[in-house]
Amino acid sequence: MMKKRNGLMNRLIRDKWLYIFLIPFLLWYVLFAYVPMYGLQIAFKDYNLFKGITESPWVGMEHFKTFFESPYFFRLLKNTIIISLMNLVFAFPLSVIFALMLNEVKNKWFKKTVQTVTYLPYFISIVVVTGIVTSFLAPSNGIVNIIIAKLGGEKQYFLMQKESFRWIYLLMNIWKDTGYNSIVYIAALAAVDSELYEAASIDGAGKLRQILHVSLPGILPTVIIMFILKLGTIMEVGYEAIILLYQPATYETADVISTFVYRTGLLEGKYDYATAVGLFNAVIALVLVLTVNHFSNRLAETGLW
Amino acid sequence: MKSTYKKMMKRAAVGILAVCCTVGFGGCNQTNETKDSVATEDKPYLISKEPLELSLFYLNYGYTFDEDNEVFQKAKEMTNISLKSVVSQSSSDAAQALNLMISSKNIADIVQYVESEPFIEYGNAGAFEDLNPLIDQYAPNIKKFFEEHPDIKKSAMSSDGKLYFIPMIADGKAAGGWFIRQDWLDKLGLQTPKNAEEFYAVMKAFKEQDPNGNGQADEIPYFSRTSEGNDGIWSMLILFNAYKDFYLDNGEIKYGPIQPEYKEAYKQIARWYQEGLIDPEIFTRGNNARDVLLENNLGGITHDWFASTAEYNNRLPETIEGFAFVPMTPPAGPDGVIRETETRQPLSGGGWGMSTTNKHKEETMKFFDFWFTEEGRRMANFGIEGKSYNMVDGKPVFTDFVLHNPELSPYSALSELGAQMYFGYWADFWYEEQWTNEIALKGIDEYVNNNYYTEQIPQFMIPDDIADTMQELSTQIETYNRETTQKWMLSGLDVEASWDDYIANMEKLGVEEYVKLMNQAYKDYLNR
Repeated sequence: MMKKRNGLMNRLIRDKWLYIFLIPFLLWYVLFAYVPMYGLQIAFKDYNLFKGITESPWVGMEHFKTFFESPYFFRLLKNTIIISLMNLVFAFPLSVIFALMLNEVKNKWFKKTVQTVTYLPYFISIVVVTGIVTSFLAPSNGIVNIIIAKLGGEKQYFLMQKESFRWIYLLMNIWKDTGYNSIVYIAALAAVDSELYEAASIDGAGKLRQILHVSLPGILPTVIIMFILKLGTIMEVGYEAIILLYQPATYETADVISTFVYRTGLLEGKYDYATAVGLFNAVIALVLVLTVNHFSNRLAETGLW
Repeated sequence: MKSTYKKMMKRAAVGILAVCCTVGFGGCNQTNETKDSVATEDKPYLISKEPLELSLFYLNYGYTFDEDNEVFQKAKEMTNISLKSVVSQSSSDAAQALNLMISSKNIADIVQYVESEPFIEYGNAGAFEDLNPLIDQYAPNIKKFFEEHPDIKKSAMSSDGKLYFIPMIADGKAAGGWFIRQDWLDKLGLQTPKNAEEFYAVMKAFKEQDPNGNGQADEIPYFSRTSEGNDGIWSMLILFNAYKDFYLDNGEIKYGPIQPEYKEAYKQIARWYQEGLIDPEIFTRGNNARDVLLENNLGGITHDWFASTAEYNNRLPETIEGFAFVPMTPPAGPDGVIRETETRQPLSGGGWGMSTTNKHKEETMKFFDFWFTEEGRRMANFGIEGKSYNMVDGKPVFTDFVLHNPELSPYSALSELGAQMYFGYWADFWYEEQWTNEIALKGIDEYVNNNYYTEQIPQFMIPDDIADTMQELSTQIETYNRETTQKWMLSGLDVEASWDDYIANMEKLGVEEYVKLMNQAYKDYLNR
């Protein structure tokens, strides 16, 4: 026993700088992740800012009931999950593929330029991006419809078609985020040992084989971790972009939890209700992350913990 | 987008501030309306012997309170009360700033806000003072105003009869009206449409007979820059005596979207849309629809605010020969009655109130009252005499500083001085009238003098216990209503055939309870 404690002390003293560096981050987590959990109780209260958390009266599951009993609840849940899943299935791999492709570019100047250009849309305000989308897709003189008409097709009012909405939204997100999301993989690729490539090429592996058997396994842990983290945000489809793009005619495929809550006007000032919805989302996300992490640990032997 | 625009305005305003010079204050008005013991012969508005500084929360759509603005400087000279802003200059999100202040419980003496809800919600919780007793004691001018306008007081009161804020009161009844290309009518030898059939005929002629003369049928007979879902076509409902929302019918509140008139209206409007008489892109064209369609000589008819719409006549005739976009009488409904539903309501939203922690309630109330004196109201509306206005025949007439300022629009010029801010005072329509162009004024006069306006549901606060339920019901009902009406227009879904289903679904979503609650709240208000 004594020996073990000594060992711990020794290690603490030996790595004291590392532990000191750790303190601010621990503090951050306590202050911004754990302390706010105290506030979660307002999901079960009739919260009034002036009365404060302790003084506000309990209302039990009132807010959850309001939310679940909405006649649109299942449609909202379905849309939220479908839009998130489409993002996960199409947009997520694209940033990995993009990073792998960029990694193969040997011309430094070209590589940097492409990286910067693809990275930029991320910083454009969503209001502007949706404005671009709306005018590109305008039925009379939008560029997309002009091309369609020139090719002999019929002009379409895309933003009013419920079948198109999710794809438009997905494509917009791909254009906006792929470059930015690929940064982490580009960084991971830089860390792959170059000797592995040499060894592979000596063994006669072509470019494609090198990518498949060296690059990809090299960044796989990063990919898996990013994937699990993404799952954690599956219920969080931001309302800004959707509110700016959807129409009553596309509600059926576009209306998600956050946009509906936004329309109820309950986001402003009604912190209790918003917290209840947030808590519900968080519980689903937690279950998903735990499940996937479990399987990932068993099958791929990597995971968040 | 609106907020970005406001931010730009703010930046511009700050830049110009430095250019502004101070000007000697005009003499005080002689009449003394307050029974004030502190007031003296030469200082009739004096509220406090010693200079008194009150803290103020003020954020008007991104604008913070500028302590040096001339109107409030002058008020300070007259009353000995000055205001100190507690909002950070960089703050632009009023809701966030207010919430922060409320939850800190360190509330400014005076709180200004552009909506009434926080006053009611936190007033009920004990953050704001009920002003009723204070008005009786210290505010003769406000008292008089409320006696003359009991409805406005009733509208501002909480459902249990407390008054937590002095409202900002709008003036002038007219809001929007119909506009039509008179030159197109003349060219095609048509008359202003008098009813829905003629309206249809005119739109059809605009579409088919090429009034813009470019050889293409590219005219867009009806357009609107209101483009949130179906909102752009709402103005047309009244041609069929149908309503988009609650309306008053012989003392009872009815819900427009479930009335038979609504069905008739959509049968026609959907057909008009299918025939291309309504802007095909009406749902997505957005706020600049009016600019785009008028400047390109494409738009024929719209329903919009008088002043800003009439403005196009000032510049577009230079590029479009004969351009005349003039107000027209609303086409009459099926029963021959001319109706206009859009009016300006007296309560514009919020105003200002005082916190319960305020230590100078008497002085604060008197200060609130100051802005309801003749002099105070004039300062709040027109600014500084000799600088922004001069008295001509007993009326404040704006100077060139306001009307022909090379750097600022009239409104910004006034804001610079501290006039036309947002707090508890009574606006005077005369301020807008002075820079509204004649075409718009003619339209406004016609609408107001003939009183085309439908009876309006008075503004009132919905009691807390039913407000949340109504909010939930309205969201689900409106979601369904908007979806369905848009489908009627877009897909040509048969209105007649799907009407019964539509009504059945509306009932399933609780429309009956929704209407019942609204009527209950209305009756409560009437009995208040």
